[in-house]
Amino acid sequence: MNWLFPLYLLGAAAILAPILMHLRRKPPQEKMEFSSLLFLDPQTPQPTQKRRLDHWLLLLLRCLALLLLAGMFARPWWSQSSTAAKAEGEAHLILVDRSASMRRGDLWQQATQRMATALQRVQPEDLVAVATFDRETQSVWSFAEDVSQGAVRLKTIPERLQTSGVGWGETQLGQALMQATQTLQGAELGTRQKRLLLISDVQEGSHLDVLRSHVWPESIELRIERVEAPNQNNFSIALAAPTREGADRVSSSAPASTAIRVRLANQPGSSQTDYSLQWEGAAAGAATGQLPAGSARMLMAPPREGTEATAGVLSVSGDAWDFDNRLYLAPAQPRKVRVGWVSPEVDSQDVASPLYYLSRALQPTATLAPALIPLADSSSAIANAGLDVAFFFKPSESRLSQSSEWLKQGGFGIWLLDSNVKARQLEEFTGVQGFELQEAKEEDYRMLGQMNAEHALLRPFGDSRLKDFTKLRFWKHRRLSMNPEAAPQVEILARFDNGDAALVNCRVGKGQLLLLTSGWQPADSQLALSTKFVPMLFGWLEAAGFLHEAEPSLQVGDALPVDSKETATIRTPDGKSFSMKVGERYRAEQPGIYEVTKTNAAQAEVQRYAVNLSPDEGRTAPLNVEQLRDYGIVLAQESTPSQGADPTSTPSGEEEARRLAATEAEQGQQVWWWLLLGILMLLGVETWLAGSAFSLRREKPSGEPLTSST
Amino acid sequence: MSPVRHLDLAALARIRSLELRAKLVIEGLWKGMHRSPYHGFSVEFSEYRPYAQGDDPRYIDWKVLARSDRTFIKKFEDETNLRCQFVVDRSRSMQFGTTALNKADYAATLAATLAYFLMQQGDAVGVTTFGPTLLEHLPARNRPGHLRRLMLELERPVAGEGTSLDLSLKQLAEVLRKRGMVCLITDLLAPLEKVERQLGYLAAMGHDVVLFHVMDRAEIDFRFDKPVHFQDIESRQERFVDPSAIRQDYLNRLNQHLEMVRNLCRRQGIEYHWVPSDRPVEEALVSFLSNRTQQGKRRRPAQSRT
Repeated sequence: MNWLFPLYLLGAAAILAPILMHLRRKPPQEKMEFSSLLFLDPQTPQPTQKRRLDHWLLLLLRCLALLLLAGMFARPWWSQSSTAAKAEGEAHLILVDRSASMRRGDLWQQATQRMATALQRVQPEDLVAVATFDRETQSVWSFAEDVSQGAVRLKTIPERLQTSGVGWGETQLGQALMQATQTLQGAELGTRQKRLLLISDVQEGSHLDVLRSHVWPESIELRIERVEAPNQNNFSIALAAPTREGADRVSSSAPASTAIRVRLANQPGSSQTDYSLQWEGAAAGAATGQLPAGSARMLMAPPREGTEATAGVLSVSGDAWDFDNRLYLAPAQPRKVRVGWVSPEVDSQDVASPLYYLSRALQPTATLAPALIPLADSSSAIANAGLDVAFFFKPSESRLSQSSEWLKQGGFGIWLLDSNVKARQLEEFTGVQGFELQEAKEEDYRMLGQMNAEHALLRPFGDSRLKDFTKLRFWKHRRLSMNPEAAPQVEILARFDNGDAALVNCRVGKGQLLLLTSGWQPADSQLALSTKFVPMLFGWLEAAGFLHEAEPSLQVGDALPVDSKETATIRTPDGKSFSMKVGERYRAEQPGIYEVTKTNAAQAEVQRYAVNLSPDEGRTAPLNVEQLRDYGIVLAQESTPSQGADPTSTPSGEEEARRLAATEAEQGQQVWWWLLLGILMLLGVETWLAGSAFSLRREKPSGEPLTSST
Repeated sequence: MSPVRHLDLAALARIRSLELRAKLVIEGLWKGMHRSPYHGFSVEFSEYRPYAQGDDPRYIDWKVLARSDRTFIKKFEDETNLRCQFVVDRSRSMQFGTTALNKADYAATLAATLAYFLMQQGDAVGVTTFGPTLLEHLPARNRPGHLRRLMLELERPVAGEGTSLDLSLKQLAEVLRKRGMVCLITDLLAPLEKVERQLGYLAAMGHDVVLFHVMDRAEIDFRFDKPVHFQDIESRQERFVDPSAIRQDYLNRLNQHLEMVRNLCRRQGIEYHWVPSDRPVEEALVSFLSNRTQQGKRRRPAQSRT
């Protein structure tokens, strides 16, 4: 039998009390009436009887009750099950952090050393599994391998860990812990005690939110061996959202259009505050300043000359750890959009022509490079033009027939209906019957009365600032009506104030055709001259799949946005090249500029992508591990030796583990409960016996001579 | 002396009526007396005289008539004015007892028996009870119904608290007008100096004082074995005593006290009878009568009380 709290056994010494009480001799208290004290001398009470134990049965019961009470508090338990578990061994899962923050100083070396030390402490009958984690959790050595090749674990695991090396990913600690518990619970470990060891810097930037939805198993205890950097002097840099306002401009001469906004942070506990921000490779132009510890600031990047003013590597210096000091910026690469103008009127200088306004509205942006391709009737077929979007204005019959197939195959077309368009042409082009089209006789202008701003084609007008069309006048328009049965294919997106359709969307096969019943040129309306014209055009391009907003920056671990339908060659920041086949996706494993060359195009097309660290990885301040308890994690006493201590010394955690195993065994057996029952029964019998003895004593009459003989 | 069959004290104790108790004792005594050499005595029998016209036929001795065919009248002391006053101690100490009859009951039985006997002989008998002071005083009489009154007084429960023997005797001396016999029945658990003075005073007054010293066997032998707190039954004082340790000392003191009592009685001319309460009442009576007979033979010519 074992005892959980053996000190309580000292309470068994309390049995001396009833023994002494039973041996105690009180002065006689009996009285007897006598006729006279005339012949008696007073004497002091002296017990004359020898000390002997009275009521030995009562004494025995009381002593037994006290012994059981001491035993109950000492919480006994049988070691049979734990012995069996001990014979079978334990199961250890070691999680090693290989995130980017582990690149500070010798943290990774510390981690590998701790792992090796932990392996040394593992008993031959134990099972071991090792996994590394950053953004993803990777198994280095599994329990199955340990079962079959446990003899070589000491050699193989460190080698594999060395091969794996430290990474650049962010610290998804919550995900790693959750998967670790699932591994421990899912593996065939018999009755082995499950132990989880985390070797990590346990930084504040560790993502733990996923643990809120995870129920931590009570049988798995997490022990943490924290590796610590010698100091917390760390600046981190991340790209901030661009703004024309420029809260903190580096130089007043920096043009707002090329300004890059960055977020600079200094970690709590840092003793360094002076920073220097500059482009790598630039001889001059560094921006300096001071940043107090624990604070962050939005800054404008130093100006840069040249065609790639917004590309390159921004670097901050002045701290001790440089793993997160670089911000990679890829050059702007707007996406080409081939926009066709299908009309006999191809003079873009004619102010009366819609082309004049279209060509000036479709300007390149940071993300889109519209290429306007006029296609007169004599030019090549639309199918050969490789158009992404086509505008139709007074198209010929032949052009319409050519474009019909293009439209049905997924093309996106916009037709400015003029007064010469016949309903029959509409029906043939769209394949929808029942159109009626005639010029509206208006003595006055029209305004837009209804607009479905929630439609994808009009989403830009969802903004309240662009919803007001009351200043937009339409002088001429065509009255378009259709068969109600055509409703599923035809959708009226906007109406004039007299109810006539202004904007109609038709689905044609896989494509879409947008019908404008009034042109945007000044002869028909004020649309081209309004501020709504450009947003409307780019809204149509977005609906056609050409986003003009900047794509979010890539982080380490993200897949490069390369079309999996194409083959490409990827060149990594460290100069290595990989070929990506159709259907494959490539995940960036390190920060830097990746060059992707598409090999199936007529000419090689190189795209550059900037991959940066996760901004949270720069939050290197140590996390208070007690916060892990808020997620329900069962923590063991941290056995992290402070820096400088012998990492190979046996931690006190083993004793703690034994105590926990003993606690668990005792809680399962609950022997104390039976002891308590025994105590209550003993006390009941003792009470009854004591009462009987007292009653017998009271039955003897008082004042009566005990004995008298003549 | 041939053995006299005595009434069992336990059986006697079960008889609640003192008069009946006394009667039984006397009848038992008479039966014994027929076989005992102590026959034909009368403590205060004076003489026979021939029956004369007008005498009360109740006093004709019918046995003499049967024996001698002559009619004689018995003359008793009452004819010569014999008076006997029983002074009975009714203090709380008399309630102590470890035998069938406690001292108070024994004293009452003894007094009742003697009174019954004397009244049968024609003497006048009275009863005085005392505790801290005189409690009750019935003068000596020999009238019809007087014995009943005496018995009732002797049957009254003990109500006294303490004992003041000297004061009671002093008060008694004041109430006794005529000389006679004073039978003091007490346990005499009091300082003897003052008692001797009062007893001497009574004797000097011409009273014939008889002392019946009643004691319980436990008081006499003191055979207790367990240390206890002995509590005085009158004063309620307590004293822790280990009987086995002090028994000899107690007996020495007791014997000293008894010797003093005897000396006292000798000095004052008091007839002393030591009466353990476990002794049959008849024995006490016989002892008393025998002693009186002896004394009567010696004193009659000199101490005529008529």
